[in-house]
Amino acid sequence: MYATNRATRRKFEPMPVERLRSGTIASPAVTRPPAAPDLTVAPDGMTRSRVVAPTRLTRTAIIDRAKTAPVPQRVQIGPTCGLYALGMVMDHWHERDAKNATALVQDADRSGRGVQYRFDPTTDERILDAAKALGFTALGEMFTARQLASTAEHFGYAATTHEDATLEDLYRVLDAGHPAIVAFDVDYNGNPTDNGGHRAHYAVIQGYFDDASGRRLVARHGWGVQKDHVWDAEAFDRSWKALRTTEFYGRPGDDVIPGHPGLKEPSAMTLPDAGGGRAHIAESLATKIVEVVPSGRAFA
Amino acid sequence: MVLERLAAALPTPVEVTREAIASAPPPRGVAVGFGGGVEVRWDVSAQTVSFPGIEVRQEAAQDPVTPGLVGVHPSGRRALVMACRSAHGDPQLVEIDRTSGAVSVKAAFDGPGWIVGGYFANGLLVAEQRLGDTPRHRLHYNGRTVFERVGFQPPCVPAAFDRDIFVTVATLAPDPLTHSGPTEVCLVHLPSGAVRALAPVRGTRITVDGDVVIVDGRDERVTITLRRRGSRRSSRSKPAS
Repeated sequence: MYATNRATRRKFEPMPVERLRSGTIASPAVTRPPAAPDLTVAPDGMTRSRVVAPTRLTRTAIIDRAKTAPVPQRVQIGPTCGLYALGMVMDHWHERDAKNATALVQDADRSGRGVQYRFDPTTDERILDAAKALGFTALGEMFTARQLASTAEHFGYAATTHEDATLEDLYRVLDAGHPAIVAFDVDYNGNPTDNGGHRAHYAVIQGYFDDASGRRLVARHGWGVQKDHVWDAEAFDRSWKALRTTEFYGRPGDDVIPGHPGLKEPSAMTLPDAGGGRAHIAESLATKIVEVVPSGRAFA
Repeated sequence: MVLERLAAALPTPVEVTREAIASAPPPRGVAVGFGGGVEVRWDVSAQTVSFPGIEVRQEAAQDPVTPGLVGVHPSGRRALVMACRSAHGDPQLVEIDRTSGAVSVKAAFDGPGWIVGGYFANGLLVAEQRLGDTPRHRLHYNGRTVFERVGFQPPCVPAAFDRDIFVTVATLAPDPLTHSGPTEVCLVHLPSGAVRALAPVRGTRITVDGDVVIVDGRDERVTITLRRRGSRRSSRSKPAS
């Protein structure tokens, strides 16, 4: 019931596309009730309500209204998009209550205040180090959503991985005011594509809204090439379903990572061999939502 | 109005066919281009540009997920690659000369974005995509802007159709909120900038063979037979009996 109310409150009325193209957004014209004194006479002699000037909303204002779970930006260093997405979500909760843990992803972040991190970490432990110690990653890559959730739990959060998730599941997470960590097939501009599912990337979905073209998602991710991305929900749906394989590990199980001599596969990596030097990620990453919330227990 | 008349004078599609193809992506961090019977391979992870028999070292800082595209000169002697100074920005379009191994920067800009280029007539067609909150795409020929849009475009190496017309893939009307939209293969008249959309496509790899344009990518091949203004049949059509 609560979720339904929130969803209803956030919805926008359809907006005229011609106003959108001019760079500003106009809410629909609203006519005053007949009893209002502000009447005008039409050429045919009939009186009607005078049209109230539309409220103009910029793209930025629409995005800001839509975000029920805004996260501070972190720009990733290396193939670490999932860990930086988790860092953004930790920042979200830390911003609301300083008792909630937040951490740097890696030591290299320390010189990037305002870019790689926003808040002083509450722990000296790095997210990347923790994920490595847990056997989840070699360089920062996280091809298994459940392992990203486990990394969040390591820092004192409660984390749920929604398996075989739908857009409706995504909206429910957002309606609860929780940021949603998701993976998708990314294009060169940092947006969802369905180009074979070979470029897996994590993002944090911060909210959604409707307009004349349908439902839109507001997202942020570690590339930092746009403050907030607005995506067609349907395009995103095709993209997260598209994730199929990765060649990051070459043939999984051979303990070799192509292009990184001396580096071994993480011990908890269990991706199935897809042949041709690729590993399946459909089961571990596609249509997953990692929902991270404070657990109430302190991170030791 | 003038542009519309010029666009209407561009060749028109007389046949469009689509077929499903299996297209394996290049390995991670690798982009491959073809020209003059030569394959040129740009390996961002190894930081090398490889022509047959010669390998040139090229430093680049971009994410291997987005290595960029390779534009190869019709002679096969030169190639254009993207070399960024950060993971997803500060891109440079670098030309590598196969014979001398010389490297020169042909275009660059600061900030988030990507850059790709191709050879056309006696110059370079350069596509610059600036990202950020107001993304802007600009296609220019020897510095003169030919095509410009607010929004996101797909990276695509334009191909020559004839001495005045090139083929590219573009989103002609990006959505004002997402800055994205459906992609179409288009003819662009270089002297005027007039654009004629030919067909919706998913891929971005363009091949031109006479009056036939082929666009590959994303498991699809689209073949478009064009008719030039004043001609009754395409050059690949059977001669009249």
